[in-house]
Amino acid sequence: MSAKNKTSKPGGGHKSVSNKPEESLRAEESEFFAAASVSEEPSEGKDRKVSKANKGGTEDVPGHKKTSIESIFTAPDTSMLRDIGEASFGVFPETVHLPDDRAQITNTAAYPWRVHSSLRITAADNSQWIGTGWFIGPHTLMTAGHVVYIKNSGVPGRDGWVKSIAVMPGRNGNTLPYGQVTSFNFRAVTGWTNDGNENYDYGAILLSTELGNTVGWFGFGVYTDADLLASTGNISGYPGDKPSGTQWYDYHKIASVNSRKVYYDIDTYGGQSGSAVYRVINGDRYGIAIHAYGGSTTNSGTRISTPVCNNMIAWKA
Amino acid sequence: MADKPILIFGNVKDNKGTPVSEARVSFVSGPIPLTDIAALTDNKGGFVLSAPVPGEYMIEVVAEGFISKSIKISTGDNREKRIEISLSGSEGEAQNYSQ
Repeated sequence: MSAKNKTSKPGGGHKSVSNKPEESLRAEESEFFAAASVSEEPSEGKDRKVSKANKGGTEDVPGHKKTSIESIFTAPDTSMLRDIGEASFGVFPETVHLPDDRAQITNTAAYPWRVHSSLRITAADNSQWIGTGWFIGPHTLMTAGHVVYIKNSGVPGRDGWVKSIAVMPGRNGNTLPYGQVTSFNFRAVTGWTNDGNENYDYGAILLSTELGNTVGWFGFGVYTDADLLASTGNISGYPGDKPSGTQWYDYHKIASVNSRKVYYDIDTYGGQSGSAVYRVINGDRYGIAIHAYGGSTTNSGTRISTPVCNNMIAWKA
Repeated sequence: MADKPILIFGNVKDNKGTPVSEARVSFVSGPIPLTDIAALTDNKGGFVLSAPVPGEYMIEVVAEGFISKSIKISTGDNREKRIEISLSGSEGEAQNYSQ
């Protein structure tokens, strides 16, 4: 399923911008805005370590079991007991919707896990943040717009393009199976950089190396509402509530969609902004959204609509 | 999103008053959906988070070697909030990360 070569420039809030104006200009002038009516192909990369997906559209993670509603009410799970302070408040983290079904990935050097990258972000005011990105090509990772461009923080000197992002594919704690590459080259769209509109909260990190050829990348595509609502969404990333730099995975049926967002009850946590929300088709992984927000009942990401897909193709290098 | 968010200034220390750097600090609940990004405390244990609208927020602080801590914050009409967070060591105490 390869992209069709129709030409259409993303308009409105989807106008591409970069912290490297000369490169952004080249992209804007380019006629290479192929309108992907279906999808871009994934790659497993040169490294042979590969983990196959389940036929049901999820990843094969030993020991990962979804908690059924029945089991919640029949067997108390004392492993969920946490800090007494939470008991006082009567509140649990809401981006992790109980029960917490996340499973740790330990073979992070295998595809598809190595496509997911731990990010260490240095903002314009030198504050440090953690996030997640995923490869879509040899040089390019997708992430949330707020990972590459901070908007409406209210903190003097913080807003704007971040200074740098250290990219660590397949990180597992202190182990960096593919090393670390620092990027200073980012992409976002005006709907985010000018307006801070969450419907446009997506961006890209461009690397000077071809690390994606080694670790591989995910495909991505534009899918109908009905197709998405029948899909299982998968998310893996680097949540801040787990041991530092460890990768965690969960999946769930897509809960709802609109023209610009995808909503799901897949457990996430701060640090997973930018993760791929992806589906498995015939064993291949295709991004359907870019995870960005945690909510009280569902989490959400920016849907890969046609203009988003067009930008991803333009950014893919 | 409000034009002027409420700034939450925090300091993370251990129970001896020593700053805890590299702690992960993030919103885990709030009145509206929030970005799923986490701040790292600086070498003085400091951080600044931006709450986009007034309301009640839950912040969680996680650091290696310490028991995680959740803090409930009600912004009220303030434009700034300042919090001090003291973490206790986790030595000898179980932290359950298994599924």
